[in-house]
Amino acid sequence: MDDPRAISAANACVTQLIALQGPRGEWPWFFAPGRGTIADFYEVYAVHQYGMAPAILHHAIMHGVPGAREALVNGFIWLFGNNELGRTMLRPELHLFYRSRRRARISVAEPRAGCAL
Amino acid sequence: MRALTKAALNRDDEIGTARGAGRALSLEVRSYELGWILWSFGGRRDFPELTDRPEFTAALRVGRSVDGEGAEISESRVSSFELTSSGPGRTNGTMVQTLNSDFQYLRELPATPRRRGGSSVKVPLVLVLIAWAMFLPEESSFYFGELRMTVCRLLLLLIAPPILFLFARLAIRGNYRFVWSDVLVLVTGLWMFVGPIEIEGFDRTFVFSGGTALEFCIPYMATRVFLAERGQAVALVRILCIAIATVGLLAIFDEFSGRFVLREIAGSLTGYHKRAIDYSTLVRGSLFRATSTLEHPHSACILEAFDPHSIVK
Repeated sequence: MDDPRAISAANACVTQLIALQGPRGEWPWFFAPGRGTIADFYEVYAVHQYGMAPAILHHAIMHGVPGAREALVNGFIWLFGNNELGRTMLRPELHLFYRSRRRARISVAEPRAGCAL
Repeated sequence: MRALTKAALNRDDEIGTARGAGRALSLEVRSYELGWILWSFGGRRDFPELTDRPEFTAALRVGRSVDGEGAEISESRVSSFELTSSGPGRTNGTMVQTLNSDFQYLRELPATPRRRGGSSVKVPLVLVLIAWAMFLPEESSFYFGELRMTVCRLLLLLIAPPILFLFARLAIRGNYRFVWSDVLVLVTGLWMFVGPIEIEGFDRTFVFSGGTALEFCIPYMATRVFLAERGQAVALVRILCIAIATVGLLAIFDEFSGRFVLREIAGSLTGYHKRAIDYSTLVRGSLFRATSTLEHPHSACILEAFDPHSIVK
């Protein structure tokens, strides 16, 4: 865990991820690692915003990656209305977050019902 | 597919800055994902701008409010950071609990779970009756012709028609949520009846296996029909735990007397005695094999080792 080469590679990776973060703090779902770009932004998952991205960004902050703290905060605040729908993802009465934002024309209900069977 | 296509065509995706167009909210929540927020922020105090946000305080208030008192909050109010209070002196919008505050201001919460009486959630009476009746001693049985009837079986027989009707109605509703146990319990119950018919014939099976199938299927259906509100399942388990603990405590009388005291008392009231019991064969080492109200020492042993709460958790 203290290998300088590994830390350097991880820092470079996080720096690139931060550069690809959406304008309101969205974390994309699919990356094209060969080109270092985004293959598809959607779905934007709440758990990426409040959990997975912060989990790695805490380490990035610790290792002094520029912009890591801002990226973490922007991604988190996305949940509370600073997003493409202008709506909070939190359901306070359930103590839960909505799961994701998706493209409106993609229906996920049918395949999910199939999976349930 | 979209991502694969774009990757294959060397095209990149952009999210843009326009609001609303072509985007939708997945109306779905998954509780297990909240483990991630605890993993990333639990115990941290270096992000107060996130962990001390009023949304979290408000959500906790709503979850703890009882009888509609305390903070009233809606999604739109949360998103605009407004918090109102309907109860005088209950809250002025100050943060009392956050992701990293470890409940340090519990006394200020608008309502706390009731300690005395356990839960405020009501369990339907019929489920409470089933939970207690199933632990009554076998010696409380009585006969209808050749059919031995226990208090529990009589209760189940009485409620079976409405339960079957309600279960069928539940299954054909549009919002019915399928669970495999709905099928498996019914199939097993049917097999408990159909299987013995091949050997014993219908009449004997009806007398001897009908009650067993009834005891197997109807309580399950009753829970599926009546456990409709949040917390009721846990409340029912709590009642079962109390019943099991009571049965365990009553076994002390058997142990000290060297006899099945409760079963003998029940038998003296109903006149039902299963068979003559040779108590001399029921001692292991220096301990008597107590049964309390149950049919067999093994049943008592398994029941007392069983912790329904652990299953719910």
